[in-house]
Amino acid sequence: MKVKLFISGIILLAVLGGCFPTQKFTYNYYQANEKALQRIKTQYARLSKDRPFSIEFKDKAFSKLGLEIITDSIRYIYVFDSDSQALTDTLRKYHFDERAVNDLIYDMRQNSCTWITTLDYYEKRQRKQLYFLSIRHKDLTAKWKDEKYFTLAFFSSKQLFDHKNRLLDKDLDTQKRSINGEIFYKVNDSIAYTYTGHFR
Amino acid sequence: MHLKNLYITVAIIIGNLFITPLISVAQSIGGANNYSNSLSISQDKAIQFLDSVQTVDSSKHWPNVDPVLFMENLRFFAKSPLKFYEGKGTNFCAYMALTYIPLNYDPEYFSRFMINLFINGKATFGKVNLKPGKRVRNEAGLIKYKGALDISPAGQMWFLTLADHFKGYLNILNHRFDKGDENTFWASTNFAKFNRMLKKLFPQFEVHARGADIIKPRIDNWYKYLSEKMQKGPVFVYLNNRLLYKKTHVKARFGIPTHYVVLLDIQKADNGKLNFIYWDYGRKSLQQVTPKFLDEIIYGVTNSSLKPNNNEG
Repeated sequence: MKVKLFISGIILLAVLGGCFPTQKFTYNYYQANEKALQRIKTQYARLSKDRPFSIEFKDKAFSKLGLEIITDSIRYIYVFDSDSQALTDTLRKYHFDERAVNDLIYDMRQNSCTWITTLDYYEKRQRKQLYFLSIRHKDLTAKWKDEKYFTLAFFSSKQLFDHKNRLLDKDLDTQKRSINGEIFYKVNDSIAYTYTGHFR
Repeated sequence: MHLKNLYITVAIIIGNLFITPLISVAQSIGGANNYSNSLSISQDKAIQFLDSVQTVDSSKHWPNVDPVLFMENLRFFAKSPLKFYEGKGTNFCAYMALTYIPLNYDPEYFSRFMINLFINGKATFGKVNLKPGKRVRNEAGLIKYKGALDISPAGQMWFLTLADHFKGYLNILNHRFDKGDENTFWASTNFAKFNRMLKKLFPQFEVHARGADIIKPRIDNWYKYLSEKMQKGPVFVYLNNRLLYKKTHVKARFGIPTHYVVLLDIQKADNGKLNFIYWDYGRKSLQQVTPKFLDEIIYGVTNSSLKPNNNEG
């Protein structure tokens, strides 16, 4: 009987461990890494203001880089080795601040940030934007766990949250706002996080 | 029915009697692949028609569709067809891809159809009598958190109407609309259903398809094949979206196609790669890919061309 209980306990722990992300990636993770994450967001916001783009790391080793350059008429999607000359040539071709973009790429790699972009959302029919970044960290991944990402949404204004810290829709203040199909939770008044199986 | 709506309905019926068949409009803009953002003659006609309608009253059939926003949407579709958007995370990509034909070949016909659908709750498009059920009619205008689709009740009406009408084997287990089903199998489209929709909605076009839901077509030279198909008319590509837009670092064991795009161009780049230029998610994209990658992601190709001596309106 005791053996059965023990085995059941082990299975339950394994299942729960597989379902829920580690405690490290909560509010505390953001606090511990706030400076670096804010630097990435601020740098990206500055660089993408006049020339919208997104950056993606396509592999676990953070060596294959996807660059999406968005113009009024077309979106260009390129894939590079992150230290390749082709990346430099492309940044030059589209008149990016090469050094600043390379610094951003460096910071993203250092902080396991796999994806950064700008997302549109609507409040009272008005178009608004938020910055969206995803983290792939070794503490969130294991062979027996599904792939998980820690994603952050940076809003430019104060948001509403319910008593369980879930992000709410400002138009319908009892309804949870979904971003990329996920419910987000409060980090502070203008930043929210979630765990998700996809980074974009 | 309000007097004004009655007037508009009569105007639409009369207009449809004289409606320019798709074929003549396509010829007037210079053939199948004359992609342009400038206002074409057919776009002008659509805008003239919408200006003549000006406004519509609320529709009892579409209780959550704001009539002012609805008309704004139709004008926007007519002026900027490539900005038509299926919404983030929905399964509307197939309906979005096929909308390329009316928006780029005959936006006037599309506008007239939409107004008819709004006023009467049903309308005919091509060979299809579309009469969406109450559940989807009540939902149009309420879909949220999908980016620009949030403020496009007309787009929501169109997508929900098509998804409600056309069914394939992927929809068997979820046949009836429930809230949130724009993201589920209810809205999914297998390759045969996609081709059937094209044939029924656009009888002026000859539709040829190659590929399947699971088995990829064997094409030796994708560049040559796609370039040739594009000469005849719009080309739709059915592909593996997980590879086109990577969302996770896990390597999928089974590749399956889940996304439809309209091929706008294919070019050879200097570095040996191909510039794959396509339309999806409300914008034109150029993705530089290797021929091997293209072979890996493509499961189906549908090419369409205007039927010669077409008399169908």
